[in-house]
Amino acid sequence: MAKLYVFGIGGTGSRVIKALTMLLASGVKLSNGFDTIVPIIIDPDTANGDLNKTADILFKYQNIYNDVGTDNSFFGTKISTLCQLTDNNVSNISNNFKFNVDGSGQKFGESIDYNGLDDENKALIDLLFSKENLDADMTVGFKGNPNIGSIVLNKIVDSGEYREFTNSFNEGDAIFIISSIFGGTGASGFPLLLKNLRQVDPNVINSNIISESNIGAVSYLPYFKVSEQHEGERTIDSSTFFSKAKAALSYYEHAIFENKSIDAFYHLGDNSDNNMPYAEGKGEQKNNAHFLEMAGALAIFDFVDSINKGDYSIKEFGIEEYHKILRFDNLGANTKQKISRPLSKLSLLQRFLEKSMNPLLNSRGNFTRKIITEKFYKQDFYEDNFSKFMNYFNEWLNEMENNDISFAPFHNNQDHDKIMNFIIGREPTSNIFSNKAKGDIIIKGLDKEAHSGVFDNEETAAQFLKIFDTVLEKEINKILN
Amino acid sequence: MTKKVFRIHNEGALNHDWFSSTEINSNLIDSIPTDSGDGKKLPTSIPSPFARIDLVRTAFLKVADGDLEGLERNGKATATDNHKLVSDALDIGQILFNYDKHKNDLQLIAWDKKDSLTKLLNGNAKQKHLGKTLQLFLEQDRTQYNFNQFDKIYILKYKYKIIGGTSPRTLFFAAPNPEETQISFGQDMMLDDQLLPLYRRNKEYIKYLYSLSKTVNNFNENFPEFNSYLIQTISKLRSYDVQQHKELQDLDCNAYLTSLSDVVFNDNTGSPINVIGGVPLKQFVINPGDINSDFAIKTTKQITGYIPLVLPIEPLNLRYKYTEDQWDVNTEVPAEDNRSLETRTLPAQGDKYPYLTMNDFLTDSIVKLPYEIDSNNFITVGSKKYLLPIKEEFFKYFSVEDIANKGLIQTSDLAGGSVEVRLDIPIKNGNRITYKKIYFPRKTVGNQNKDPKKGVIIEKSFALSLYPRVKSSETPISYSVGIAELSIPNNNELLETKFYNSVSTQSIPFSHKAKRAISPIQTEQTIIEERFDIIQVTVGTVKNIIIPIWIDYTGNTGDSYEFTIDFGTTNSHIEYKIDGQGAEKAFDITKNDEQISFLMPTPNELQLRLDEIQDVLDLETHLTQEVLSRHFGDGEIRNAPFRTCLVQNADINFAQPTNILTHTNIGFDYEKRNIRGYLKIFTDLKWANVKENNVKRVEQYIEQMLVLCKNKVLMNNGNLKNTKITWFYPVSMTTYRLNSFRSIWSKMFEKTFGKGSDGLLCYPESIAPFYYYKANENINTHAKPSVSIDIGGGTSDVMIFSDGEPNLITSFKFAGNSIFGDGFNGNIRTNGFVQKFYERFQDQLSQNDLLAEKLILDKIYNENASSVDLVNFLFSLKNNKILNDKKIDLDFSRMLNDDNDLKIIFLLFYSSIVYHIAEMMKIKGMEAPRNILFSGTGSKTLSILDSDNKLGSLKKLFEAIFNEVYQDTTSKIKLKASVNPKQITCKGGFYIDANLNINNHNDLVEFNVGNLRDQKIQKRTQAHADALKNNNIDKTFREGVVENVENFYDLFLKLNKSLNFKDEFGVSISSLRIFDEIKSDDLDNFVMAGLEVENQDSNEEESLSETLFFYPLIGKLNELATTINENKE
Repeated sequence: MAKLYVFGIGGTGSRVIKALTMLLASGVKLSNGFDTIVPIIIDPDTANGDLNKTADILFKYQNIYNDVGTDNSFFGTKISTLCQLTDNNVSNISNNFKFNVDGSGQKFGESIDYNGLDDENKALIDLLFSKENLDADMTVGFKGNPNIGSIVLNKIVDSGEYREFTNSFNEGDAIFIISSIFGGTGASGFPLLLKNLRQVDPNVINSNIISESNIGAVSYLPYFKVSEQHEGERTIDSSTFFSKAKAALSYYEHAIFENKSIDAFYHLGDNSDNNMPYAEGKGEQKNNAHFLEMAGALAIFDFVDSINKGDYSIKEFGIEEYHKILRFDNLGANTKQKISRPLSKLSLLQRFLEKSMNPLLNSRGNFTRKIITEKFYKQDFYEDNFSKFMNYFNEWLNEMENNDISFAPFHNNQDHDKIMNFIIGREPTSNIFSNKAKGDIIIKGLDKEAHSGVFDNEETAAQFLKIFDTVLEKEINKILN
Repeated sequence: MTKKVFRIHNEGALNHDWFSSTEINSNLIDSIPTDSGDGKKLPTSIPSPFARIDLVRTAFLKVADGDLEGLERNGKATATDNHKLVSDALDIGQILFNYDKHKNDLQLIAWDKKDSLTKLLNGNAKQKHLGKTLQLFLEQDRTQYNFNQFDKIYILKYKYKIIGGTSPRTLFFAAPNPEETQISFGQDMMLDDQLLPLYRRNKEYIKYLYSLSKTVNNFNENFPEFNSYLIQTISKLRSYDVQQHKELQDLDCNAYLTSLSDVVFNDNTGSPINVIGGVPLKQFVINPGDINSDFAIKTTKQITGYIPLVLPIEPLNLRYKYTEDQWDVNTEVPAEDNRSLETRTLPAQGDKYPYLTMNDFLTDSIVKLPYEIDSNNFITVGSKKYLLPIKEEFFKYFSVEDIANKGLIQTSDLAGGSVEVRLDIPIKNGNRITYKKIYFPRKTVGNQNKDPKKGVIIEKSFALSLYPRVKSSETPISYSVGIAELSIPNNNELLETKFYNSVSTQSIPFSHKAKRAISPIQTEQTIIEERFDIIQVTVGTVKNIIIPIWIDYTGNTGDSYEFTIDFGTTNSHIEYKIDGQGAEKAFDITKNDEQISFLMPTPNELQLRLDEIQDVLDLETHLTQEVLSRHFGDGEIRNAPFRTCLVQNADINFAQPTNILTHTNIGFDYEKRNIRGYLKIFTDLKWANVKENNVKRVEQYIEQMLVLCKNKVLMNNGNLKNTKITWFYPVSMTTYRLNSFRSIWSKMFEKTFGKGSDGLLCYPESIAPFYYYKANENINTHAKPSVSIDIGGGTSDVMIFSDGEPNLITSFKFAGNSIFGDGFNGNIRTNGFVQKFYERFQDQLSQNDLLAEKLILDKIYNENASSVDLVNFLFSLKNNKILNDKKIDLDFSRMLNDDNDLKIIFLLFYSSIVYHIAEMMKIKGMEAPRNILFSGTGSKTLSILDSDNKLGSLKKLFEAIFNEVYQDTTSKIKLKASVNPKQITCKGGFYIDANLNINNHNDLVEFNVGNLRDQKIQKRTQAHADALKNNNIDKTFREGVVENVENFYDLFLKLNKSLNFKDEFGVSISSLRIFDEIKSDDLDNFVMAGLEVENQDSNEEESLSETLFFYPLIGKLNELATTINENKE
């Protein structure tokens, strides 16, 4: 079984990994024998809000996965940290998904010891970098200066994490890199990382295997704007996003595509009117989740699918029908097919747990009485991990809905009585005699599965998840079909 | 139903889900809409340390695909980011292409792919990291950027700041935000905001890049974007510059590249620079000989080497060609460049080529005079008060004629006492470059003016004379330039002069230079033997120039001039005659032939009231006294005859080289103007001992007279070759002295006229007057002899003409000085004439406020203590211009005429002379004369005795004397005298028979020894066997002489009775009584005193040279005057 190392570089990288995690949680599966995802978030902006949220989501996913066991539909794919991959208890390796890139708090010039350079090297640096570059403070990333990033980020190859990565890499494993082309960190990290991966270095274990491995990448061209207010006062300037993207793309053309150093390249962007409030990194940078981040996550599945087909490919992402607000039916057939069922199922779970908890606990059926007692909801698994993950998931969906382009396949605010009406355009046809929308249908289903005893040998958490999975699967199929 | 693909470009299929799409290529990238930027905020989103190389690469491609200009929107010149990147990269290339020109401002650093990287990899952690990253990109991106093909990146610094470097992909690229340079090519300032496509750049640069593209292997493969740009450029040239396009098509690229120089690293010719292997960096070193600029100086002279450019320091907005390109109005040219011409590099453009700027021509200060310069004699500009602030350098290219004829320099006075000087320098295209420099008064800018565009006005008062003011290529002329200024102690701004001609910028050495006056006024005369065009005057450190306007002597076809010069004991005289232009006349200098010029013209009435003009005028009188006055002759203070007087510097040392005008000069002012204390007067020239210093004085006196004559000819464009000079000598001169004079005259003649002595003639003084009368006074000279008596100051010369030729000449030292002088033992305080009239004249002069004249009088009395000089001065007052102008009549002759006591002296004087001649003629067996002709200054005293024009009384007296001597009664004599008797000798010189054999005149010279006992006529020639010698004169002989004198006394007293001297001449009885009382005392003593004086000039063995008869009379006349004066009431 193979591992997929997913490098998420910069803020966009974090957000796409978040989307990936949500898809994995909802039950979207990797193909081609890949069973493990190793997400690695590279961001020198360690205080970045997106990064920390994603790390927390991954952590909770792992906890849930560990408690519910393998082969599930929900949370069915293993997500591992680098640390977990090796037996060695290596110190200084963070047991999370973040790459430590040293250099924050420094100016670029300091980070390369500019003042200590000999005349020739100093002259070369002056020839290649502006004074503004040299004075740039890198605590908050590279502020749209990937030429600086290309040097600073190269520290990753010196890190313990990178060593863990190479040590753990096995033949058949693959790599996927997520980055944005118009920002700072992502734009610089991607080609740099790629170059390192493709470089055979006798000092790096497995570098020969890695350099030959399948590597895919998704790059984001601009898909949002920074708020127009106070323009000119900030370092990130959305009006130059396009020209930066062009310049970078032009570099990729020569440095990546022409020598075919990537196996699959996914790119996407949008002329959106969507403004993100400006934030110059750190904790403030928490951008709302976006539909295209999910699209990027889907590229990972597509990449895995395409591995070993021997095709070098450039891929773009489209939908069937363009609206400002997207429903499942507007998506391309494959996409719809791939995500509508899992997302709907997990969303229904999330809704049910939120809206129908009281009816469930009061139902006194087999499920509550025998298998998942009220106590369960007070325990760590549920309280610390599962419910919180559900909150993240709900938040993720809401954010996508509220973004531009808006991805809004679900209704909001259904209560227990109409909970099954949640998929927009797939509301069950009800009549006065039979309320097919009622959450009681699910409770009945849960009790019925609990009664069947199929999952009696499982741990409580696994029972909980698997029973729900079985019940919701049926109900969703009814709705979607 | 519309499908949507999430993309920002406009290429590729519309599909859904993740689908395989189009290649990402430049078409796709281009279709991403962006604003094109302004070139200042360039994207840095290329994730590579070598991002700039890629940016520039893309820029070349984009610009080549689009519009080279960047003229895009609505006709508005808008440059895109890409145009900026391309233009800057081309700028770096062009700077490298002209590397050596701007070497001083440029530095190259070589970043070595191996060594520099190794340094990093061996450095600290941070450096190592940087090294590893660079290495990663160099390796991974090697094929895309030719990283595998270069060894070094050469990094270019301008004034120690990095501006760009070589690029392995686009040849060159600029650093981020490079500072604008001061380097420009044509009108394009490198790295400024103005962008310039390649096709509008320097032709050589285009040829170079074109040649590279045609000769370097795989150029298109290695530099595809640059090559596309080049191809576009060439295509554009086909319409933009057909000529250039054709030239490129025909270009032998290999040969062209070979013709260029390598750009080398660290001056090491072994280290030519390659961008990548096989692509050498070349530079164009212009062959200075190929520079063909509109700014080339349009010189009127032959210059060697490259023709310098004349560059404007003020903005010049005209389409003039600089070296290759059109002049850029913004090009800054320094007003002053301290490098030598050969080492200069052209402003902005950097080629090593000579150029000239304002301060190469204009000095830092200008000298202002208190007066307006005489524009007739000197070139003047503007208000005429300024010397010309022009440096020597100017005359490397232009002559003074260019200044005079082309008006190259102008000045205009500005408010506040400043003056603007405009200097126009003609350039090749027919126009002129104008330099304007404003000079400010010293008080406004101070002494420390540092601004090379400004100048300082130095005020200075001085007088300058230039003598003579004529130039000639026919004859060498010796010039004297005089400077007079107030000498202020501790003032270091005393003037210095240097002289230049228009041919060479080397100063002309002077032959003599001497300070004459020292303090409080200082004068200096400089003698230059070559023609010069420029006088450079240095005031302190300030050098300005004065340009004389010369009278051009073209001569030698003009009129012939003849001069006769009478170098007399007391007075000298010059007459001249122009062939075919009537009678001879006294030497003069008129308005039409002024020989001397002064910087200050003669002031008008108004100017004379100004103190500063008076001060200069005072300075000028010094120069006049040292050289010459503007005018000379009738109606002038100075005229001919003039006193035989040489003035010399008080500190003169004849053992060292001396010269006229620097050390000595004729004292024309003597007895007319106060001779300044720094000049020492010498009046005893003609008869002074033949000794070194005296000879030199005589030489210089004669030389200056000859110079006057020469300059007269030159000023009137006369025929110098035909000029004749006749001089006269007294027959009483010893052969030794005469030979000495002959050699002096020929030496000075040759020095002045520069040829053999062909034009130099000489005659005895004695014969000339006769020829004058013969030619002009209609006298009968055939039947009976005529006697010509020339009475000078020292000698009287007598010539007896009979049988159509000079028959006998005699001469004796009994002349004017015998009357007015101090005899043998007297002095000025015993001199009867002086004592009688000195005080009277003192009073008269004082009363009439003639203080200058009184000063002269007192000086002669007290310092010269010469009775003769004093009396001459008294005589001269009658014709003194100043007295005449004031209508003051001080006529010494008339006073003497009115003085009956002293008349006996004159009567004795003339009577004794006629007695002596009569005695001589009788001994010789000659008939008594028909004519007696008087000449010489001394003969002026004839009028004291007989104011009647026809001299009736004297005629009676002289006839009576001849009758007495000849014991006859038939003597009938015609007397002739002249009011200007001094001039007669010179005038006669013009009428002497051309056939007259004057070589053996010595044979004619005889004298009556004067011994009554032994009456004898002796020839002057020593060869004569029985000639009396000095040592033959004994007591007995002397007694014979005294007896002869007593014989004369008897005759004199006898005639007094027959003619009644009181009635006839007004001689007082008392004077006759005194004469009778003392007439015989000490006569022998006087003979001995006379002999003693005579022997100073000869020795005892020599023959006697003159009669002894007058010796007792010389002593007696002096004594008589003293006694008469002492016995007056």
